[in-house]
Amino acid sequence: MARTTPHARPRSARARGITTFRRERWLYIAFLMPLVALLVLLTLYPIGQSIYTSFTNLNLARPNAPQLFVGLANYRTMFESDIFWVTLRNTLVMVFGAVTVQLVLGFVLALLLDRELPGIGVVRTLLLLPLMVTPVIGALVWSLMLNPSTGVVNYLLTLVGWSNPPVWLGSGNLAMMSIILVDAWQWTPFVMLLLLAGLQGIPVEFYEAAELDGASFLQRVRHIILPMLRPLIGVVLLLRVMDAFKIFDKIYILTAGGPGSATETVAFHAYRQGFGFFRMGYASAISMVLLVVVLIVSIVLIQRTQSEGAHA
Amino acid sequence: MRSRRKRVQRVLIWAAIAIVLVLFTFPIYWLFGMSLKQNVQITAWPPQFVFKPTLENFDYVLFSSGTPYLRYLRNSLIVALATTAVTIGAGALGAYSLSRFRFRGRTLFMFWVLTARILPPVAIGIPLYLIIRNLGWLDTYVAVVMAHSAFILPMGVWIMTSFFDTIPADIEQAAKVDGASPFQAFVYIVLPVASPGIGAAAILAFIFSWNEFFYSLVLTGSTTRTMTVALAGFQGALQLEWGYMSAAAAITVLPLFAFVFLTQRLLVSGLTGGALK
Repeated sequence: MARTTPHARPRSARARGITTFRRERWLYIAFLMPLVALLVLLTLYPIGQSIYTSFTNLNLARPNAPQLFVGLANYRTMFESDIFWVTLRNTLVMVFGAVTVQLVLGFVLALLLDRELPGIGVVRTLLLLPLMVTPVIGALVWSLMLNPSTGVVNYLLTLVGWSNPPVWLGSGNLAMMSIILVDAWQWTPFVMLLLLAGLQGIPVEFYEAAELDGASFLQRVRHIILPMLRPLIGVVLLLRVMDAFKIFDKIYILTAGGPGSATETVAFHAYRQGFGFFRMGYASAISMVLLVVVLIVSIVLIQRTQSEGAHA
Repeated sequence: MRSRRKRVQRVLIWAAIAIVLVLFTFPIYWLFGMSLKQNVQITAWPPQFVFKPTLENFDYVLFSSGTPYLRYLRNSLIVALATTAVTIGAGALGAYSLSRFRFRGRTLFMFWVLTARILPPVAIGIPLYLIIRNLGWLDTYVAVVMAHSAFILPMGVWIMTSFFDTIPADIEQAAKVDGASPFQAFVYIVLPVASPGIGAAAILAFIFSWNEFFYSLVLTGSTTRTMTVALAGFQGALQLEWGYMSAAAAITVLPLFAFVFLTQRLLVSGLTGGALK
């Protein structure tokens, strides 16, 4: 977080010319109030409500049944059910797979585009377009393109000699891979954008020195570029991991969690339990566990980024 | 010899760039292609890469008397504009304060803002649904705007705080020495300088709300249904409708592409703002 957060900068408030008078103090407090009120209303209160609901048997399919306090029953059911562990594993596979593909590919693309060529600006702009496509729409187009009997992807694959191309969304591992690839199509440009900015911030002298030493391209990547970009890569990793946990639209459109439960994530599982089967108490319990997992992963990553930022 | 090697290298680089470009833009080309095809052409085998374009689908989506798409578009627009207004209204003030005001617990507060941005949508969506249902507000704009603000407002605060941080506090101090109140200094001195940052946050807030699916799915109903929810309903729909769907999708995506081409600098500074500063 060190490099990302304004408050963690080494310069103190006073050094930046900030001195707070009483008059200003009231202004600052007044300015902060709407934000605090909205954040309490929109994040703290719902989460409090959800923790409470997770200890009850609330089921909207039985509107007349009383909402009873059931203690840890929902959590016990969850931890004893196989499907929960399957969805947890799916979530981790999806996050890890998506982020890895995006970081590697984004880095390679950034290296490729980090040069002065005529028309390179247009190329960079065009590569930003997938980032803007509404995720639902991107997923819809991909689901049509990946259709085994009418889709253009398999048609092109047969053209290049793959006589029996796979049913992308029909089998477990391939379905998971397809979602990861569609997410990579959308978000790799974002990684590329950030890393490209980082590459362009590396002083030319470093390259000149390396050239004098006769360093090869790979040596330059390994000994100059990667160490220089390390803190930035940490930040990008953090941002992408946090977003990858949220993948929902693509699963909803491409596979609806299937085949079987092969692409059902914890978030999708909670959604199905809550809005498909109306078991709101149980769904709340699942979503609270997901919340804890996301928070733990994020805090670990934030702390790692922070300490690396300090070393860099 | 050397120059020849250079030339080969150059060709290879351009070939690689061309492949990358085709891979990443092909789905977009395919979407716009479908929107200009008749349904028979969309499902034709082999897929048609070259065809005689028709505007039939757009004509139906935008101008036919029974079209529901204008309503979806209007709903998406209302929600996105209102979410942007909340984000900028509460967010710009809060971000300015966070940038200038040192108070105990500020680090913790910033962490709260960050976590609000990463909360899993289901974790907020389920209780928010229950709360809004109890209030009888399901299928209202207020409900969706509240839900969107839950994650877009923190994002906006994050971006704008980093922008305010780049503006030296000296310029307000100078104004105050000249007799301006802190509020006047904020409105007349700081806001104009910060307008690119606020603009970047506004554009991103609009885009994120316009593209949002999960909260809209659980909170909207027949009167407030947004475009994303309507389009997702096409999953598994009759092939008859694919042409209309792709035209509606193309219309949904076009304004976002306009942002890319017209405000690229702002957009990029907003996207990277929180991360690079």
